[in-house]
Amino acid sequence: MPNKIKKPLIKRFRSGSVLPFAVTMVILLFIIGLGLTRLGLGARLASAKTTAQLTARAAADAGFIQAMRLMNARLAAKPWDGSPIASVSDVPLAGADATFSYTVTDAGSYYQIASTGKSGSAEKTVYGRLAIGSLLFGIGVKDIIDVKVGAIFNAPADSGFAIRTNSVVDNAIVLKSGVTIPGDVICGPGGNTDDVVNIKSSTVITGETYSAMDEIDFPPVVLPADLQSTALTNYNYVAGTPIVGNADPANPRCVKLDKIDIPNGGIQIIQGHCKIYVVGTTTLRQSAELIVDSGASMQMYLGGNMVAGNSNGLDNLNTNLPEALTIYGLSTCTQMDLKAKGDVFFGYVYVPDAALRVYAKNTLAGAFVGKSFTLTNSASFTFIPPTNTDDNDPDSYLFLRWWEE
Amino acid sequence: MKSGNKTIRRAFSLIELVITVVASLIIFLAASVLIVDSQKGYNKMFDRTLGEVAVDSEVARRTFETIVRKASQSRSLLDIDGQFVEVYYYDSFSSTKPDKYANFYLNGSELMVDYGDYDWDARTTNVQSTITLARNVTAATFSVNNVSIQMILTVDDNGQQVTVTSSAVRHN
Repeated sequence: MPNKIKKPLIKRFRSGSVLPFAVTMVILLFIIGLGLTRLGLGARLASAKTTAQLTARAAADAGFIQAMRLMNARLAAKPWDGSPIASVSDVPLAGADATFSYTVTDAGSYYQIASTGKSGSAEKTVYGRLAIGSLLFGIGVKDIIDVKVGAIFNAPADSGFAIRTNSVVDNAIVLKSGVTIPGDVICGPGGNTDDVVNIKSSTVITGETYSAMDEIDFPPVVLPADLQSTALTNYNYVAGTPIVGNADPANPRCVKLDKIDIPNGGIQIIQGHCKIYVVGTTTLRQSAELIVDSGASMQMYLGGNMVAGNSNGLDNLNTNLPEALTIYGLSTCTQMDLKAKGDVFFGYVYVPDAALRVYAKNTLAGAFVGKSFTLTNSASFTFIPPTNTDDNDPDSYLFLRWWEE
Repeated sequence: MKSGNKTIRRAFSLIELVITVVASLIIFLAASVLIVDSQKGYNKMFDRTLGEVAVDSEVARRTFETIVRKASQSRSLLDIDGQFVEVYYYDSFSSTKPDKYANFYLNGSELMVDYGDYDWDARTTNVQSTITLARNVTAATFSVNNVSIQMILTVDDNGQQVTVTSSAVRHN
């Protein structure tokens, strides 16, 4: 009987539950661990996928910007036959495991860019439509815009008038009391508009004030080939003797002068249609005038500075026709003083490397581009958008629309 | 008597039983804690990767970036305290001005976005739909820096605060 009791007790002890318990625990922990590993793998894959998508998107954006800049460079290099830039494929994106490809197609009234970025299995395509737009959009500069007290601005509705600088330094745009801007005020990329744009309490901006996504490219003026090949003439002012151009506005007369120097009280009249390249300095001494006669036109290329004395004037007698007086400054033109003696100055001025100082008691009409721009007291400015584009006009590509898939 | 004594010696004493039970209990509890902790870790990781908070955060980020990237650079409306941001975009190629808007804001603990028509000149909006992008949001802060717009979401993930930051550049 004692043996019968002992055996079952010993057997039960020997076959105890520790091992099954331990095995069960191990299996449970293994299953949980496997689940965790699987979950970690899923999270890692999702993370890698998101990273690849973001990298592909960045590559597509980079390709788009490169295509845009190359198109602008092609446009700036006159003459241009209108053909788009060549497509590229699988260009490595610096600093990232990604590539981009883009194509630019000519769709007649616009160009369309399609840029595709690839990173791993991720792919992203962004699109943009570009059109050629004039750089004469109002007042555009690389550095400083200083508009004094009381200056009045006017612009047609929806004309796209803007005051714009590439600069991001404090007070790059100063709009004094009483100034009303009927359009946008734009500073360079990354600029803090509160610091860059200095306005007074009575300054009114009817449009938007913002910093641009990219600097605007003001291409240098390229002297037309026909002017380059024209023989140089020494300028001698003779009272009452006009510079006479051709009758055909499509075929202006080319004139290449060493300088222009109009003496005190002198009046130099431009008649007919001409294209004048002044190699040296253009000087309008006290009370002197340079006048584009009614029905005439002048494209003026400044190789040197334009210096103005007191009470002088550069006048265009073609009312509401700023196209009749266009002034381009080569890279050697670093200063231009503009004074209008008539009631209204009509003209387009593109001097991207010159400090442009406008002294006017009356009205300016047209558009201005300079390295800097200063508008003195009491002047008023009316923006007249360019209506026709010449092959030699400085243009830039403007975004019509951007979208992505 | 002899055999009776032997039987008593072969049985477990009360102390042995108590020790055994306590030891087993300790092992069982330790194992239970291990399993429960593992399960909690699993659940936490699941929530972080595939849970509602994670999915909502991803949806909010993608929606925000998609809208902002096609928005107009020249105009946006930002609350002075950064509690909402409104952006404007083109409905189609025939639109000459941005004619649609999206307003991101926090409503209670939900991140919402209003979509609708926008009159660019009159600066008026007409809401057409409202969508909830994320729930369990404890804070949403927006900021505009030049052409980029940033959204910082703080989400309550089962008592733990998770911050999600999104930023995008406006292209139009």
